[in-house]
Amino acid sequence: MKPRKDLSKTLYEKDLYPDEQTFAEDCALIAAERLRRGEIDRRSFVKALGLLGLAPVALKFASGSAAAQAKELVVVNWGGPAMEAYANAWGAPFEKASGTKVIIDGTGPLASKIKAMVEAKAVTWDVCDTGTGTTLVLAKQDVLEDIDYTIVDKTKMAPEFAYQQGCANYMFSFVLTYNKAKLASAPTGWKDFWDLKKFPGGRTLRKQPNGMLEACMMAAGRSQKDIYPIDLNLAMSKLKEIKESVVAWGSGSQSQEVFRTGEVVMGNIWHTRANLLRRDTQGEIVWSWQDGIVTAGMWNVPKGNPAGKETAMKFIASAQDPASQIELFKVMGNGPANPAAASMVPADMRDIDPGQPENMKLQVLQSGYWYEEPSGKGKLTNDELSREMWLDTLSS
Amino acid sequence: MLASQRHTYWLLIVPAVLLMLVFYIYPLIQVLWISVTEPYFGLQNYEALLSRPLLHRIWLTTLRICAITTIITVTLGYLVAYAMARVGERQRTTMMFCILLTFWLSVLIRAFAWVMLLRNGGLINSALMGLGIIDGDLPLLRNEFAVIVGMVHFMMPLAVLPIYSNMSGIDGRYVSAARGLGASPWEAFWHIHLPLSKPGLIAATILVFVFSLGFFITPAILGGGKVVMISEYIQVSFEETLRWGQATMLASSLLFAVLLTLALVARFVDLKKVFGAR
Amino acid sequence: MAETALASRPEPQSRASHSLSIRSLSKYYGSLAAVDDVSLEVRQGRFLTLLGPSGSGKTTILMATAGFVQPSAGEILLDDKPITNLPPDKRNFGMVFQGYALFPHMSVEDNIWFPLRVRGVSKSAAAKSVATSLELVQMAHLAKRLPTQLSGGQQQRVALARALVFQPDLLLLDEPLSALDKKLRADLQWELKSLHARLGTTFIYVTHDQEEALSMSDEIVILRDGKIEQQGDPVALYERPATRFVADFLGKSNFIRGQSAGGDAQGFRVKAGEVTLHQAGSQAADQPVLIALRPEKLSVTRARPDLPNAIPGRIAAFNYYGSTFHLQVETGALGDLIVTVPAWKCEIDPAIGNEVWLGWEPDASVVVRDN
Repeated sequence: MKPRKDLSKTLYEKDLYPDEQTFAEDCALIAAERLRRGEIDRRSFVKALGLLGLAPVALKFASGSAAAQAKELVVVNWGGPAMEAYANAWGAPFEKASGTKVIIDGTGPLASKIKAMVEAKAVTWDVCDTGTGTTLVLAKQDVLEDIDYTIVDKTKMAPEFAYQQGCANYMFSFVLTYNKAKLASAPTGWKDFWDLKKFPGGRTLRKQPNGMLEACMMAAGRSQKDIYPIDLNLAMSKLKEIKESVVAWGSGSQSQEVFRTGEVVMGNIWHTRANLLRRDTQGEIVWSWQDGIVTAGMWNVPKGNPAGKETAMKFIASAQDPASQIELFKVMGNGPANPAAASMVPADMRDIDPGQPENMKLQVLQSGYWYEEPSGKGKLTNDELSREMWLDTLSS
Repeated sequence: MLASQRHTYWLLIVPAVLLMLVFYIYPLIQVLWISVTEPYFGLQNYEALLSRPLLHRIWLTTLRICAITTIITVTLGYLVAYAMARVGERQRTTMMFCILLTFWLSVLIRAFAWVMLLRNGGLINSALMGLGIIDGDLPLLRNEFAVIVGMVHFMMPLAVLPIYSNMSGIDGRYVSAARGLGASPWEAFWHIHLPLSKPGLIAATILVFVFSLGFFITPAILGGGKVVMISEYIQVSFEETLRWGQATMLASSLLFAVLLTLALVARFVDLKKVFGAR
Repeated sequence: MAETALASRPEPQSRASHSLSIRSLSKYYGSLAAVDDVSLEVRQGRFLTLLGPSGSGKTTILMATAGFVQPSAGEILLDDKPITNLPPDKRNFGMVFQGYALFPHMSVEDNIWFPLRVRGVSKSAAAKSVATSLELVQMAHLAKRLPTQLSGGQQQRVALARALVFQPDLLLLDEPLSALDKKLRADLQWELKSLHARLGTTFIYVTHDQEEALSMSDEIVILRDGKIEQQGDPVALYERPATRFVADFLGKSNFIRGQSAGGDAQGFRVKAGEVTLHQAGSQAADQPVLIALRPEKLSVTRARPDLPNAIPGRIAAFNYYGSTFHLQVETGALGDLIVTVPAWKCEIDPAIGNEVWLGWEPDASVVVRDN
């Protein structure tokens, strides 16, 4: 697997793993520039061994020297332009303030990689840019450090996204996107999304239920306040209703593609992709914040990280600075996580910032708590059970 | 063979065997081990294979699609190989080139090419509508039909090559002799040519079926997320939900399925001959 | 003398024998004529051999008869019924190929059963015919074997049995003995001949081996470059070749060129250089003449023989063949002549350099057309 640094390659390589892409990874693809970041020799050595499938062994080699260098912090994201963006917005300020060198690694923090690293006691990553889903899965595996909220400020993020083992780094939304040109009238909410008679045409939903279940509930008549706890059986029956017309997307580019080919006229997709569609089709495809589901990307710290827990937490705290988040927003389109940053967003970009008060008003804040709770079925949490049931229903 | 010669031969084989042991057998054992130890020691993962309907469905889907793909691919491959064995040198080279060309194209490009052909308003639907055969778009994409089309297309070279290689070795005089003895063209084909092409057919069937079992990219793209085959679910279980016990169990079950297939075939056919031993 | 011996051969009983008529058959491949306007009658019950070097068209004629080659012109009739456009499976001819083409995945029995099977013969009736066929070729004890487990001679027998089991109208054989060693070939020639005598089926046999043709055939058709050079029964062809090609192809010949020089008591004279030879037959004077003389018809003596044609020479080389010597004798005037003499009680001493006299009767040599 190539490190995801070259944009030209990644656009399609991404689709080699159509099933699993986090928002973070997808953001890396959206910006147009190709940038490269130099890598430390140790890193490339580890990577090369990783390519041969000897990752755990390789990491063992690496960890010896890694532990010695506490003056270095590795931040892992999905590569591409995100690398320079993170380096400028968050890496440089932290380096100046603390003296610790920040290295941005673009290999992509897959849950399986984090788990493998920690279990092999050969951790080379300090801070990982993942998502709520991954955080929940990893939390059960006992491979993450608890977020130290004495260093990280809980008030500088929406409280819903201060998880025990992860905290928000930026905001994004699942929004109702539709092709104005192909529909007689504009849909007003998820109920219209489900109305195949009034709005004939294909629909696209994600292969994972995260972000989709909430839409199902709203389509079933629940008001925004009453979405949680989610009734999984109801959600699945809603899915069954429109399944024949559904094309499932696994990656951001896929969600865009099915609109482009005309296969779907409505979709529940990431706002950043909807924004691209709007731009590319000169406003034929639009989206609305109404009944959108806003959620957050997550910082995770693997247990036994080389730079030590404290340094990692200090970095996370420094990334809460509103100005730095705005800088990132300008380049990548991720909404700032710090509510204080909302007023600092330039006026012409406010309509694509999910964190703006007028946009937040219309949306549903996703509840991580519900996903964490035990479902009652065996030892599965709601997250695990919903994944299974969603896949089951989709493929039946 | 002298004892010293035998020792030399064994010594020559040892590096390859060691390589196999370290990089193939050992990881395989690891996978099997994880399948009975995660999340705790026991056969619970295999038991889940028997009890959970989702896993049944995924396995049945996989088997069904692979079986259909194999039958279609081998049949079409036989026809193509038959034609190739009979045309002139120039045409045969052209045909061979076309077959191999698809081999060299990335599987991703091929899958997307099929998306463009099969979608609503795509080439096939437009053509059919233009000819007045259908009124509205046929749902040719993001379903099992599209997956099978994509897989058959990918597998064709795997079927054509072994069958052709076998057929090109069949002496044409056998069929002529049969005709001379009074057999109609069909009888000559059925009684003489077909039995003689059996080794190629068997090789092609095994190849296509076993390859199809592990197929991942084509069903993921052409199935629209609704046609879930085993390999896709293994990937989800491994990378996403971190249910490594389940993932390794499914992978092991795939391995057992392949071994079972080979064992079944070995009852009817001398597998050594199929794989080239003389 | 030989002719009378052959003429007294009994007519075979015709059980399933038919006559074949080939009329003006031609086959062109591009501008090349593989077969050029060949007409042939094969009377029922005959053993006819198409003989010629490779490229003479003999196999093409056979294949056209079998139905595997579509003639460019001409027609083929079986008992006066045209069959030119019938596919091979409808012609009811037995075929024995070069290489036998025994089906490798079937046992000997099943191979022989095959033609009966495709004719819809019931299993019980077929079993009887198969058994009879196996007896005919003495292969009953190997009925269950696979072709790969048989020797060349055994395979040929099975091929024959398979071609005959359904009592075909005609048996076509394409150089069936060419892959066998000399001794086996000789044995099987006897067998083929006796089969033909027993069954009475019409045989059309293709070969390039003139010994085979001479030994087995009732009639030989010699082909050259797609045309018939000469046809007739073996003795006639051997004793009276019409052309130089036939004289040289069928057996061996010495050739002597000369000029006819008027008639005499035995025939006419031929001046060949300084030598005057006597040739049976008649020829106008002052015509160029080519004489063919078979090696075994020359006598070799120490002293001049009392024969109309006699010439001295010196032995230049010789080969010993057990039963015969082949001598190459330098005669000077007539060039080098090949002579065959029986080795047992040979009058002369075959050694290089020995002086000998060669002699022959006027009717021992033949005038042939030069081509």
